[in-house]
Amino acid sequence: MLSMAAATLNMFQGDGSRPAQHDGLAELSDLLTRAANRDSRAWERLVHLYARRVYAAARSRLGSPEAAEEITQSVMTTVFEQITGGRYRDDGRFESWLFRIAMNRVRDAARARSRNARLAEDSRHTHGLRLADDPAPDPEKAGERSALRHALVNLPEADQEVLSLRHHAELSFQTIASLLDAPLGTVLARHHRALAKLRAQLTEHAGDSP
Amino acid sequence: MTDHQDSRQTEPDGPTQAGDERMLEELQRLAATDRAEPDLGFERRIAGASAAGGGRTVSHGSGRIPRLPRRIGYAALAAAALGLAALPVLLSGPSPESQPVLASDEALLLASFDLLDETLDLDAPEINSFESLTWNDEWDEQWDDARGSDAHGGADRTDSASPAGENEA
Repeated sequence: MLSMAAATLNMFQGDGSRPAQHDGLAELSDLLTRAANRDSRAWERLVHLYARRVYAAARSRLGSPEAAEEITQSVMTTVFEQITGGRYRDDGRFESWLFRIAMNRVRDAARARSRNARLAEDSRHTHGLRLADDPAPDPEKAGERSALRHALVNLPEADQEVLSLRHHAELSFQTIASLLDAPLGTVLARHHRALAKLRAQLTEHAGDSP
Repeated sequence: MTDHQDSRQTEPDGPTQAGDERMLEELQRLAATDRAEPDLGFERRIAGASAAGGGRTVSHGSGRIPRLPRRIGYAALAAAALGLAALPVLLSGPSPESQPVLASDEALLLASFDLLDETLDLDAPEINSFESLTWNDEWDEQWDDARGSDAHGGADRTDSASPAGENEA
């Protein structure tokens, strides 16, 4: 399993929007050099390559389009400042670096939201209220995709992270291992376990449904 | 073949495999939906805002506009508040109640200029020395006289040239 996965670790996925690995890395290096010199077209190309992937990873974790866009802008602003300020040194791990920034921002936002949710929940218990604009989650009504999204956000944080980095951000397992500072085998195992938990949640949900 | 496809191949055969594949396909569709969710101007908006230093964006209906940095917003609010507070004064001038006070202050100021004018020889070489400008008893008396005359209309000297103007000349 590991050998087969390792053989394909750094390949870009064939979605047509990104070049193959060799050309991709050469293009990326060129873009970074030009962006560091404030070439606006190079910066736009970098944003085109990464912004939606950052957005999707944040969206899957936070659930809010507005929060996901704010995170994306915050991440890209930091990246721009670091690159143009000469504080980023290209060592071929740009994706790891960028998505590490993104994951840190997402973690901060998720924890802040969790604190706020706890406060709101405490307040609701204290006052015996249910907020009108806070309906109980009902994935059944919203369809299968909503059920999947609901199951995703109910996974432990580490599991959500590896799934969003792999599927929403479209990163290779090796890049995920690099940005999480974890061995490749650990990341592969974590991904496998996360999928199993996701399946269990969906099965449980389907069993609960009439 | 991607590593993702590879990971799927490692799943055990049996009834769960089809379920796993369906779930993975659904997960990938969800991810693709999320990547496609932002509107067409998303990249341009992010590129522009990030290169400009990160003015935050907010949704306004179907489009989005950049939100000013908070500090600029506060400064604009403060300036607007000051402007609004000053507007009645600018439009109507000093209130009638305040005019006597202002006239009295102006009269005293003019009287002091007159006093300097009468006492000092502005062309004298020592005029620029500190000692020549030290207050003395004679000035004190003249100052009191000037204040007394001000109370009887002595302040009506708006056409008098200021010593400062002479000094400049």
